[in-house]
Amino acid sequence: MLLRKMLRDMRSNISSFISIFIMAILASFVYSGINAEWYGMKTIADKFYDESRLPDIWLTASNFDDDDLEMVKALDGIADAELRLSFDSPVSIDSSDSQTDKILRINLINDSSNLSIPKAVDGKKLTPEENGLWLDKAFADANNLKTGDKISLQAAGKSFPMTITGLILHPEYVYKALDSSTFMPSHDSFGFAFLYSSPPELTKLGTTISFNQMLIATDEKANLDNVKKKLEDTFHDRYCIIIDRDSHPSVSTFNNEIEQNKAVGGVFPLVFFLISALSMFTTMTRMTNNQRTLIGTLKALGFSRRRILFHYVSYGIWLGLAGGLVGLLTGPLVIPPILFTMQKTIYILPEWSIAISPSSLLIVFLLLMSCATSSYLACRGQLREMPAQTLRPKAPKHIKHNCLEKSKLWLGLNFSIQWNIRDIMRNRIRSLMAVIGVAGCTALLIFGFGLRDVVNYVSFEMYEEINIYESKLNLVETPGTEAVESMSNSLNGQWIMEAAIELRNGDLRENGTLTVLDKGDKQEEIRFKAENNTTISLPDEGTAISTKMAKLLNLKTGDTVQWRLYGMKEWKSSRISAIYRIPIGQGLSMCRMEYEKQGERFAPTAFLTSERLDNVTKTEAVKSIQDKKELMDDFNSMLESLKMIILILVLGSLSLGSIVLYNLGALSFIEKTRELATLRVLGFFPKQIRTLLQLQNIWLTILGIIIGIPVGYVLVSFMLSTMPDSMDMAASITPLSLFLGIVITFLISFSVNLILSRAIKSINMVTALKSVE
Amino acid sequence: MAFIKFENVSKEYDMGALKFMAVSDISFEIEKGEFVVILGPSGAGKSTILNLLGGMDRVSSGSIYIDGEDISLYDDNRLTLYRKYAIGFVFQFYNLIPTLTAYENVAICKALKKDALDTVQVLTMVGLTEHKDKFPAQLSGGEQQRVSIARAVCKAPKLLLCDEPTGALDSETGTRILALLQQLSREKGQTVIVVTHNSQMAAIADRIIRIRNGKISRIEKNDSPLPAQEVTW
Ligand SMILES: Nc1ncnc2c1ncn2[C@@H]1O[C@H](COP(=O)(O)OP(=O)(O)OP(=O)(O)O)[C@@H](O)[C@H]1O
Ligand SMILES: [Mg+2]
Repeated sequence: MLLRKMLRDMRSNISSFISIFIMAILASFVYSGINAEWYGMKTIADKFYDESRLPDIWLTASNFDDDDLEMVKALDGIADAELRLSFDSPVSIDSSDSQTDKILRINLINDSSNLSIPKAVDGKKLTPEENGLWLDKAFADANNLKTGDKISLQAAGKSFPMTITGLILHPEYVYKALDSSTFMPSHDSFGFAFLYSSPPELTKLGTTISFNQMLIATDEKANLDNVKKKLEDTFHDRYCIIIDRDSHPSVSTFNNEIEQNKAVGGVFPLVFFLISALSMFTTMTRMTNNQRTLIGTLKALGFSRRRILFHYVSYGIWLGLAGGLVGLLTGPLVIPPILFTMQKTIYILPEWSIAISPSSLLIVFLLLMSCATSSYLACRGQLREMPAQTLRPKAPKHIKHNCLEKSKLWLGLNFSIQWNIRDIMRNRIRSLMAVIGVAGCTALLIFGFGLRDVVNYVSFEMYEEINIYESKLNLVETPGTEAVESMSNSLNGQWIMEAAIELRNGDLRENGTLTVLDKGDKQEEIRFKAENNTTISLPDEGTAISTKMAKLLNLKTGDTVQWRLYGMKEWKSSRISAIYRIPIGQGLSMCRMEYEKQGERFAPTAFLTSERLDNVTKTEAVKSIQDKKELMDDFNSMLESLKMIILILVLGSLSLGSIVLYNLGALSFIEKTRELATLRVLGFFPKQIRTLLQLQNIWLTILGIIIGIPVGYVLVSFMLSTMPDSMDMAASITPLSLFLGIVITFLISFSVNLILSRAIKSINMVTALKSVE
Repeated sequence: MAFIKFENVSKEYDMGALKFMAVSDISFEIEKGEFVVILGPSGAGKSTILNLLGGMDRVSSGSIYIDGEDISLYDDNRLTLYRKYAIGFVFQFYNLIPTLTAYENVAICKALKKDALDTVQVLTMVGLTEHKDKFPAQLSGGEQQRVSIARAVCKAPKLLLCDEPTGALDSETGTRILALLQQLSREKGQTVIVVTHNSQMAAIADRIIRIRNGKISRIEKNDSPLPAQEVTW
C-alpha cells in the first residue's frame, strides 16, 4: 500500500525525481563505463602477461653467456631465466627495394624458450622445427603482409630474404614505440619479429650470435628489490641494465594509461554524485513538509515511527538503486566501445573486452546509500514531532533579519534585489545546489577544454619552441666514423647523444635522459626554455637539469647532481648551472665539452638538421629519419583520442548544468506560482517578473562560475599529477577555454531560464489564488 | 454614464465536454465612491464577477465599462496596465509575499508605480506602524489582511476590490477590517466593492447586489448604512 503511495508521490514530483534519477544514472554510467574500459584492458593485459610468462626482470648487456645464465639461475628468488638476442634491423617488404625506413626489432630465442612467449594468431605455431620468422601482426597488417610472404632484412649492405611463418602478438609490445621520442606506435614503420636461434637460415645473417638480453622470472614470494640488488652485485663489473616490469616501456606506458583513465573516471561522477544526493535531500524535505498531516495521520493510525521513516528512506533506496543499476548496465555497454576504438590505435591486446570491477558495484551501493541517507536526514525532523503536532499546520518558520537588512543600505535596495536575497536565504539548500550544479558545469567544461590546451601546449613547446630542427637522423648503434664524417660534411646540423641515465641526490634516485649536444654548424637545433618562458643557452660548464627532475631530486642551481649512464658502475658528479623546463623527457642536458670532461666518450645517437631532407638518400649509418611534421602528426593523433574524452566531458557538463538548473527552476516556479500570480494581479508585466527571476539566476550562475573556475583548474592539475614522472606538463589553460567554459555555462543558464519563464505568461491568476494550498 | 457598468456580462467556463455558466447575462451599475457589497451563497458567481472587474479574467460576452472605457476589449498588455493603475485587490487569504516584510510588501507598489502613496503613511492608516518589519508568517491573520489592504490602497486605485476579506478572520477582527474599508470609502471617497456570503454585511453598504446561480436576484440601495462597528455578526 505504501509502495503505491511512493509511486504516486514520485509521479506528482516527476521532474525532481527524474532529475535525481538521471544524475544517479550519469554518475554510475560514466563511472562504471570508464571503469569497465580500463579494468577490462587491465584484466586482459594481466591475463596476457600471465599466459605468455612475461618476465619480471630484463637484463641488457653486450654479451651474456651460459655461465652468466647459470650464475643468475643459482641466485635466490629466481624461478627461471633465459637468454635472448634483440636488435633492430631495417627491413624491406619488396625484395628489390634496398632503401627502406621500416625497422624490425628482431628477437632471437632459444629452442627451449619458455619466457615471454609470443602468441601466434595466424600461420604456424611457434616451434623450433619451423624455419622462418614470426612477424608482428600489426606490422604485417599495416604493410599488407600475410603468412607465407617474404620480407628482406637489411644488414651490412646485404639483403637476407625471410619467409613469414606466422603472425604474432607479444606482451612486451602491447605498447610499441621505437624510442622515447615517438608517442604513437607507427605500425607501418616499426614492428617486431621472433625467430629461433637454431635454424640454418640465421647463419646467412652472418652474425655470430651473442645474446644481449636475459629474461628473468622471479619466485612468487621473492622480493623484487632484493633480487635486483643481487643481480646488481652479480654484474657489478659490467655494463648491464636492469629493468623491472614497472620501468619496462610497454608495461609502464600501458599502466599510465590505466591510471589516467581511472582518474578521469573518478573525478567526473563525483559531481553528479553530489548533485543527486543534494536533489534527493531538497525533494524529500519539500515532500515530507507537504505531507506533514499525512505523516500525522499515519502515526495516528498506528504505523510505527520506524515504519514511516523506512517508507521515506525507501524512496532514496529505490531511486539510487534503479539509477545506479541502469547506469551500471548501460555504461559498460556504451562507453568502452567508444574508448576502445581509440585505445586500439595505441595498444595491442589479444582481445578487447570489458570487465566489471567490484568498485562499480560499490558505486551503485554508494549511490543508494547517499540517496537513502539524504532522505533519512530530510524526514527525520518531521517524524520527531508528536502526531497531534503534525496534524496542525506547521508553525511559521521564524525568519530572522540578516545583518544586511539591519543596515541602512537595505532600504535603498530595490524590491527585486530584496526579494531575491530573501528568496535565496529562504531556500539555502536549493540555492547551494544551483551553485554546485553551475560550478560543476563550469569546472567540467574548463577541465575538458583545459586538457586540450595542455596537450596543444606540449606540442607547441616540444616542436615549436624546443625542438626546432626539421629532421632527426637516428644513427645505428655503431655508425662507423667514416659515415659520421661524411654526414658532417654534407649536411648542416648538430650531433646529439641521447642516453638513459640514473640520477641521484643523497637517497633520492630517479631515472631520466641525458642529452649531450655538440656545437651546431649554423644554429642550435634544440633550444632550452627557462621556467619563465625565455630561451636560455646550454651552459658551457656544468650541466642543466630539467625543472621536474630538479624538483624530484630536490636540487637547485649550484647544487651537485650525481648521475651515471644506465648500466655503468661509476657515478659522475656535475654542478647544476641551469634549470630548463621540458614537457616530456626529464633529465640532464650538457654540452659535449662538459661531457667529455667527465671522461666519457661522445657517441652521437642522432644528427639534427634544419635542412629539408627530401632528396638525401639514406646511408647505412642512419637507422631512421624522422621529420618534424611526422613527429607532430604522431603527437597530434593523440588529440583524436582526447577529443572523445572532451566530448564526453562537455556533454556531461551540459546535461549537468541544464538538468540541475531546470529542475531547480521548475521546482521554485511551482512553489512560487502563488507569489507570481499575486505580482501579476498587482499589475507586474510578465517581462518584469521574468527579470525578477532572472536576477537570482544570474547571481547564482555567476557565483557558480566563480567557484567552478578554480575547481576546473584543480581538476586539470589533478589530472596532470597522474602523469608519469617523465612528463612535466604545464596547466596551461588558454583564455579561450576559460571564455568558452564561462559562456557555455551562461548560455545554459539563460536558455533554461528562458524556457521556464515562458510559463509566467500562462499563470492563471484566478486559479492560482483560489485557496490556500 | 455610471462609474462602473456591467452590460449583459456572461462568463462561461469551458470544461471540455461540459460548459458551465458561472455568470449569465448580468447588468448593473455602481457609482463613484460607493461602498458596495456583493452578496450570495457559495458558488453563486461572486468571485467570478470580481475577477472580471479586476481584469484578472475575461468575459465570454457583454461589456464592462470602467470610467467610460470598455475593459472587455483590452488585450493582455492593457489589462496589466489596468490592474496596475486602476485596481487594488484584497484576497481572502491575503497573498502576501512571504519573503518580504510588511513594509516591503506594501512598498512593492512604489516599485510598480511612481506616484503610489507613501508606504509609512498607508501603514499608519491601517494601524501597522509597529509591525512593519515583521514577515507575514510573524503577523496574525487580521494584521496580514491589513497589510494586504495597505498594499491595495497605496496604489491609490480607482477601485478597491475585496474578495471575502474577513473570511479567514474571527468576527472581532473582521469588524475592524470592515470598519477600515468603510472609513476609506467615507473619508477618501474610495470606491470599494466587497464580496461576501454573509448577509448581515448588507447593513453597512451603500449598495447591495444579491447574486444567485450566476444571476442578479436583487439590487438594493441603502440610504442610511450603519457603521461597521455597530453591526453584530
Ligand atoms: N475555472 C473554473 N472552471 C469551471 N468552473 C468554475 C471555475 N471557476 C469557478 N467555476 C464555477 O463557477 C461558479 C461560480 O464560482 P465563484 O468562484 O464565482 O463562486 P463564489 O460565488 O465566489 O463562491 P464562494 O462564496 O464559495 O467563493 C461555481 O459554481 C464554480 O464551480
Ligand atoms: Mg468566491
